[in-house]
Amino acid sequence: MSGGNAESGAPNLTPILDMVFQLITFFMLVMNVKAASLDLAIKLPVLGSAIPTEAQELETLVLNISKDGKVKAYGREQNVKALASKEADLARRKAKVDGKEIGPTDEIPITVVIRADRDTPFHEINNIITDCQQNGFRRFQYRAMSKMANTPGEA
Amino acid sequence: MPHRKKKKHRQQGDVELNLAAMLDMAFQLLAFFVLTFQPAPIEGYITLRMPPPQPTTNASASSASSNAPVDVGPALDSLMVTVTAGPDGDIGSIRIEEAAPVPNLTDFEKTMTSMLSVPGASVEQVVLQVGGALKYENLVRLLDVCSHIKLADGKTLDKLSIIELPGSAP
Repeated sequence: MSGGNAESGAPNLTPILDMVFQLITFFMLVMNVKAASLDLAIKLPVLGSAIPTEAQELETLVLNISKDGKVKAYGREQNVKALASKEADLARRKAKVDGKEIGPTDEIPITVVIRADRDTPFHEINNIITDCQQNGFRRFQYRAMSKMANTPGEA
Repeated sequence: MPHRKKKKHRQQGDVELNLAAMLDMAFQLLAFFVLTFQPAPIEGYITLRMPPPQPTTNASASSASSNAPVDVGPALDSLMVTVTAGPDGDIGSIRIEEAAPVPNLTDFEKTMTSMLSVPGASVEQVVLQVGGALKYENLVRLLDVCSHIKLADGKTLDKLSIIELPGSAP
């Protein structure tokens, strides 16, 4: 293996390029696309017995709820009533295309993921759950940290 | 002779690829990925089926659930659990139906398991009536305990309804 062009003194850049491409590949593979829907500023409660999120539900609607009850979904603040209605409508249309029928009182096959700040009062969460239930959502997933970990904004 | 000719042709057409430009671009890509990289938090979850509460056949519970959302469907044999919030949003008291309050979540789980795991127990829905000021942190602890309660058929309780305790909004 030569160390480059001996006459001109130029270094052989091929190994370094190989290494950089391997690093790029690594970062591309470990980049979590799903994490984009999570508001990492929210301080989730810590619950040791919560099941780690490995076996994920296929269809989820992630609602990030702040301390004052504001809801963020798809990276921006949303009106839950309108969002739930829109998502339910989309799910019904999708089911129709697949040859299934979801009636107005039937269950929507989407799991609503509640990611609320640990200090959010139940009153705010209940309003959100009720809005979702009125649109046919029945499965709810409550998120918590599996173990103590530093979250952004936490000392 | 043909061998010589071939060698000469190679030397003339030797193309040197300038890797510096490619390396620059690769480093830029690498810098982008390094700077935008955020390890995913280790999150856990509790999944529950939560239909809206239906009318109850239990007289003591029906008066308490009068503020529940408007529902359709038959009246179900229900078990009403009332959880009040303390001043800091922690769990104040837990009361199963009209019984004396249970002191903590461990006792709550034991009492509920002993009630629901009896063969022939006819509870069709468990309704949690929760104080509006209860913090999410404590709500999750409560739901975690509920999701571990064993039923008579050996399965865990995964279907419950939640309503807000009337007049408890912060």
